[in-house]
Amino acid sequence: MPLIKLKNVSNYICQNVNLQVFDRELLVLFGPNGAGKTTLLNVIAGLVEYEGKVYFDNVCVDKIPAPERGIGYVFQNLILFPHLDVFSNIAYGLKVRGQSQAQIETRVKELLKMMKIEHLASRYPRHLSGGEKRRVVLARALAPSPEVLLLDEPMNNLDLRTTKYLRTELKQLQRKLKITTVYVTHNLEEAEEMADRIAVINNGRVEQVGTPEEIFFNPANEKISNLIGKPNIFICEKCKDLGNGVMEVTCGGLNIIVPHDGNSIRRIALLPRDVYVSDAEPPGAGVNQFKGIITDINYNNEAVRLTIKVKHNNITAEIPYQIYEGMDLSVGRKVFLKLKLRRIKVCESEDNYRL
Amino acid sequence: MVILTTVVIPLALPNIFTGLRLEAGMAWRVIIAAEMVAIPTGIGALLMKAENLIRIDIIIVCLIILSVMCFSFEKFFIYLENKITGRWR
Repeated sequence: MPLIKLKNVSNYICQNVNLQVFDRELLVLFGPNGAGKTTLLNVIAGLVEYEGKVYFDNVCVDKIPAPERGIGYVFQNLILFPHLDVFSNIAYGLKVRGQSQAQIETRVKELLKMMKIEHLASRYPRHLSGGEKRRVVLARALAPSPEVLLLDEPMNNLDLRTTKYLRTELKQLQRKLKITTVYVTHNLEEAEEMADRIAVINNGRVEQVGTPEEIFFNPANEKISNLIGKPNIFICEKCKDLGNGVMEVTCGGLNIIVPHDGNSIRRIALLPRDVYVSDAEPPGAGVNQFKGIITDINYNNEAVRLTIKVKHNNITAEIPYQIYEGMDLSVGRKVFLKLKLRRIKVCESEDNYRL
Repeated sequence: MVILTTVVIPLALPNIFTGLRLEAGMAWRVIIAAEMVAIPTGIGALLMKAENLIRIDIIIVCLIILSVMCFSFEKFFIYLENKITGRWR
């Protein structure tokens, strides 16, 4: 499977993009709507015009038309052929390549089995659910054994449970097939779960490339920090293993309990929306519960961002506007906050930050 | 060629049938207009004669025939379309 290299790629949205996708890697292109993620995918596929060079295994593919680049593409809106049943949809790529009927049948059956959709073979796309359609589209993309797989927001418009399930399956499949994959999404959770590395794209530029941990704990600039939700990052001074997969870390005078089983923790991070704020002391065990003073209040469209000073730390919390209105909060007021235990992200290493 | 027969033509069929249905009625109207003006036979010519003789009954019969023809042609194309594309539309 090839290594993909984009060198100084520019077009109507991309601006001088340099990017490498390693062999057998799953690279996630992450960015807001209109950032140029899909366009970059189309550049790799050869579906749009561009300046610059695209290399597959150090061979320039600029002059090679899309159908001959050896690419499997899952489009954002799926585009199943409505007039063909599931079997024929999957067989289409093989038929166009002139394979024999026997070969087509063997390969399609193999894919139907792999994607667990054997029972759907004779159904038409209009009789398929969203999840089933995605499986068929993926099978169709994989049918001609492509060297590169491009996935453009394949989990759009699916319910949370199906998305979670399909993501796990997709990741396993990618590992099993050892296929170089570029995956587009604007969902951070999805990006973190799927990616070997993430490339953050904004306004047609690649802002940062790195592992999910690098992006989250060390965003290259303010824009990226905003894109990933401006997480609170705490540098850990002390780390104590409490056993049973739980650790206690000390950050700026705060003792925070973290579910973690492994080496000692260097940093922890928590998104502002995962910090509960209350004007009265919350009931229950006081795990990760602190008292602080509001130092700043920022109003967004739907949420209110509070900066709360707790000992030596400034913690940002985000609460919905309606809840804020009901609580009568103001600068200088004492509040209680609770950090969502399961949402705390952990970073063990200090030295792996590279841009 | 495979792309033309597997994708292009089948996917164009619904639009082709929509055109056929819309234009079948128009075709009948054009034929009758031509018969009224230039051809001495057919429903159009009969309409003209009936008009000259002030035979309202013949005119009404001609119009009914025209409506029935338009209606049955439309139904025929709908039937044909459903027969060919009904499985997947």
